[in-house]
Amino acid sequence: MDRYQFEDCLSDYIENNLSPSKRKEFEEYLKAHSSGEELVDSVRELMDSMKSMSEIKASPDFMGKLQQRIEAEKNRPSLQSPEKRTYLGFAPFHLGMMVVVLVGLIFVGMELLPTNGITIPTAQPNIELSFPQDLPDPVPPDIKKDEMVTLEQDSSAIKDQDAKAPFDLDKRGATFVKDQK
Amino acid sequence: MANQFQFTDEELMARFQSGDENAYNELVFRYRDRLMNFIYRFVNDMEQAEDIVQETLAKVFTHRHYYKEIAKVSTWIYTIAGNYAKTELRKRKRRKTIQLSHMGKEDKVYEIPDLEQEPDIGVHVQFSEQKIQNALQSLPVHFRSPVILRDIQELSYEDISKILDVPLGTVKSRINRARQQLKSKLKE
Repeated sequence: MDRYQFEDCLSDYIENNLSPSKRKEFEEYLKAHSSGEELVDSVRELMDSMKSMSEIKASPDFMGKLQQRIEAEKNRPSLQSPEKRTYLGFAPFHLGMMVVVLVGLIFVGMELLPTNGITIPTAQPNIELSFPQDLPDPVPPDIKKDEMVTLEQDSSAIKDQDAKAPFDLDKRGATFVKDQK
Repeated sequence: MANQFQFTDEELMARFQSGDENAYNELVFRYRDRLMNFIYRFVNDMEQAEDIVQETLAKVFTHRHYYKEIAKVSTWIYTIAGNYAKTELRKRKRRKTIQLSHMGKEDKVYEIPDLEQEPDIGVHVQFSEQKIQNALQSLPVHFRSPVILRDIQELSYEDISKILDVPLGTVKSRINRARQQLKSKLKE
């Protein structure tokens, strides 16, 4: 055991908290070093002195003052005000701030969304499909509802149209865009 | 009131939580002097010590429902008191320079009790109390509180560890080093 280990074990030795083997080592150190024994004695003396220090008592009007303080605490507005209430576990102020931040984020998000349509890359490198966001109304305003035909009535017409020409993407709002490269 | 001594601190706290203010008075009776001892040794000022103890016990009253029976009442109360005492020391540190520059004739001077003149202390006290008290003040706060709780308040290492929220091994080593530092200061 060296000096550092000895000093580390000092309180444990005085309070009888050392294991038997450690205690033996400690006592061997004490036999070999008289300064160690002096240190043990003086720390033990200090501990005894601290234990026997006079007791500090509260003043006679302690209870009266405490009662006044408690009354003051009871009447403190922060203990009674509705501000102490929580909503969803948050104080009203914090909840309000969170709502403001959330609304702000939604607004910014909407501002950042594209307004000129969505572009979808295709498998072919030089072609991509672009769809305008505001698609034209499939029913032109000049056609009255009672003039519209059902799908069944119109199926023969569609078949005829398919046979005549390929589907005109331009009229349905889709266009081919050539790659600039 | 007499049979309240049969109750443990935790039972008294439970009664107080359910509205029995006599149980609170009993807790105050049990703790006020113990806390005064702890806080006075820590801050070295009677008036401030009493103020901190009152603040602690008032907080026990107003925050009684925050106490959960997973901890000992003593640990809870000592933790509150210790935190107030540390806050007071920090405030004092900040005020120190301002006070020195603004001290006037009308400033109050508080008397420190001359503990060496107390007849109860007896001849067996090897180091004078005032010297120990001064030596305690020279210790860093993280050494001062555990050594006071152990050697003056005689609390267990486990309780001190919980009060200070420091691992048991750290508490033991701090107390050991604090004792050796105190011993060196008293020999100076």
